[in-house]
Amino acid sequence: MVMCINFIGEIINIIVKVGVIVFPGSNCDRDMFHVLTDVFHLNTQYFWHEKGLPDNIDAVVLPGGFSYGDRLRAGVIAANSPVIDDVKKLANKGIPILGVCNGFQILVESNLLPGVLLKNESLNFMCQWTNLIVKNNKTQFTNKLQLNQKIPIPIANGEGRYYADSQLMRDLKKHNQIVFEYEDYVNGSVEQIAGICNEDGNVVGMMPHPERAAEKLINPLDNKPSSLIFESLIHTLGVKN
Amino acid sequence: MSLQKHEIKHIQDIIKRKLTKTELQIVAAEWSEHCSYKSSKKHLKMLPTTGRSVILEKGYDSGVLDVGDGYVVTVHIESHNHPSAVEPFGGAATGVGGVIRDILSAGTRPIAILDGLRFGDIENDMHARWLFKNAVSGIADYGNCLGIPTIGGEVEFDNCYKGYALVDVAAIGFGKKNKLIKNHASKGDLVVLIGGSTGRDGIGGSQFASDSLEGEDRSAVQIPDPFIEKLIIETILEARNEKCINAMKDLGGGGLSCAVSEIAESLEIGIELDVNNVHTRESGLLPDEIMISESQERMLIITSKQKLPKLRQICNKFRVTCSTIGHVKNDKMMHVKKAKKTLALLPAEFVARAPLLDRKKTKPKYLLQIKKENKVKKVSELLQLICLDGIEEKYPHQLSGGELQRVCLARSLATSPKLLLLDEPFSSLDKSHRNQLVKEVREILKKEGVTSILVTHDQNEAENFADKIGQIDKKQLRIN
Repeated sequence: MVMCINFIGEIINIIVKVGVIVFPGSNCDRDMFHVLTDVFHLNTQYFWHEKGLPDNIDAVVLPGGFSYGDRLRAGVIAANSPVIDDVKKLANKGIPILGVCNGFQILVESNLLPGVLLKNESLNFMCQWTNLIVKNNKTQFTNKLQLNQKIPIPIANGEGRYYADSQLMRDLKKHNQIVFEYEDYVNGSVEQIAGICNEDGNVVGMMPHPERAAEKLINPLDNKPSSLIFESLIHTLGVKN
Repeated sequence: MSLQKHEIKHIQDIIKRKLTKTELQIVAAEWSEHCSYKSSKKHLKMLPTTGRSVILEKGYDSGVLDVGDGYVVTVHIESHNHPSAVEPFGGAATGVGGVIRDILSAGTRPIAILDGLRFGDIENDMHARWLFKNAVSGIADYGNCLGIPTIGGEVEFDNCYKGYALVDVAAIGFGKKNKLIKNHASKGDLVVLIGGSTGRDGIGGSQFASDSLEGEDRSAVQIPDPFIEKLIIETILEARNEKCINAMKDLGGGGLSCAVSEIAESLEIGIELDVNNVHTRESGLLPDEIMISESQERMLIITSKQKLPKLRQICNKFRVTCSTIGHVKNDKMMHVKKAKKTLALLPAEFVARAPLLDRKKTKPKYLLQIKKENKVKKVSELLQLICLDGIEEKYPHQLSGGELQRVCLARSLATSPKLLLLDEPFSSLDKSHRNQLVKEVREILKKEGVTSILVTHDQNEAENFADKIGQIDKKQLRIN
């Protein structure tokens, strides 16, 4: 294991490399970077959307925000960025890929995940705490969580209503692709879906923000469940912290 | 145009010639109340501007505070009332955009938004409700798109705001002290305009905002584009890290006229610019329109020739348009050209410093009804009565539970009531203090001669406090 010390004297694992992709209009990139480095001590790097991703990258996160100002449709322009070709290649290789909020919208728009995200039923931007229920604890981002475990976590989106038609819903259930559901009726998502994964479970998309809930300081309810999403990634990467 | 007779005379006295059409537009924009604060400056000057932690530099549009450990916090507040009263969504949103660029121009990252709002009676007035709903969503939409939270604010509704709205927006920034922009410029430096293109939106906005609201001049309201603002934030902060910025100013009310004249005045430099170099949204824009357009999401940067390529590279990365519109001179003049033709040539100081006004003022009548001396006297009497004189300077959280209860008592006595009902006032106190306080309160009430009824579950307390004791038993009151 190769270790190094970061600027505030904490040990960082440099053997793994996590990439946070930054699009024009991404605005949760810095929060995500902070949590990955300062809280979970992962060697993290920003990647500007026009740059390619190196082959030896170990995990990729698409952060939240308003890429391209949500023009046309949330995530659709970013989904056509050059970097997405590399993300697709890495996804096929089984590399863990997490899309949060706008990142989830981009994963859906780039067909890395099935279904669509529509405007919330209220037609309004929603910013509130919700409870998630873990429905699949086998994915690369949920393997440290318990099935049906509750995760207090905030949402902040305008287009977060997940929709899948009945055929797709059958497929999602068949392949155990529903990862998170809202405990309560929040925004009109079909079957209250808040996050899904691909068939292999290495690509996960979720509307709520784990990076805003993983630290005690900013989570008034319970930061442990959200931090387990990152602990799961660490477990997947085989890093001992 | 909003220039007054005495202002036109002032121009002639100083410039000693007739102003060109462009010059008149520039001066009218900059001398509007909105840009020059010509009426309010006199009063605003009474506010303190120095302090142990205050960092004051040339040309800062926001207050900068040294918070220690090498960090600074910047704060800025601005009203955006007129535009919000006409087009509440765009008005409120561009209000947010404006304060954020003021935070940015010091070289700090905007991290929070606050707002203070006033509307008419939204329960009964449909128009007030429309204003309220759209102003709130304008603020929310802009902030959310930038990823900057609106962390607080306050709102009031009153009939006196009928047909109008007050939208005050504040922003807070955070940064490193050693990365603050120290505004400076020298001859030969380049003047660069970055961000949104200049269009016909918001033309004459600052004059419109300074006038009484009669017409609904929607073209005077600017159109918000938070996506470009977000790109500008990242561009500027990266350019700051690369030391590409010598001086910087945001374009708000008065557009280029205001930004150019004010930056030239504060840095004691001259600026020569060519309107042909300004990137525009549409063709056929007149030079005067370019100079006073208030199109949003634009920043003026002064950079050196050596740093320009790096600045361009950063702008290209974020796909933010960047035009070199002019250069810095030593002559302290604001020189506007279109190709070789001079359209305006005025001393920057003259443009940036509108003649100040001393407007007639009257004291509001309601102030006369409040007799301050009486109030102060009453407060100190009451504090003496409850034996807490000397606590005037303390905050509530610095008082003990017993002291707080005594303050509550003083507040109830302030109106000189004839009858006082005390509903378990001592129940939250611990026992050792309770007996003492019960006796004290009894003495105070005796002294004041107020008939009082105390409700309590504690037999001892009742005996210590009251002259007469009654008991409620099976819904019957029995007086002993």
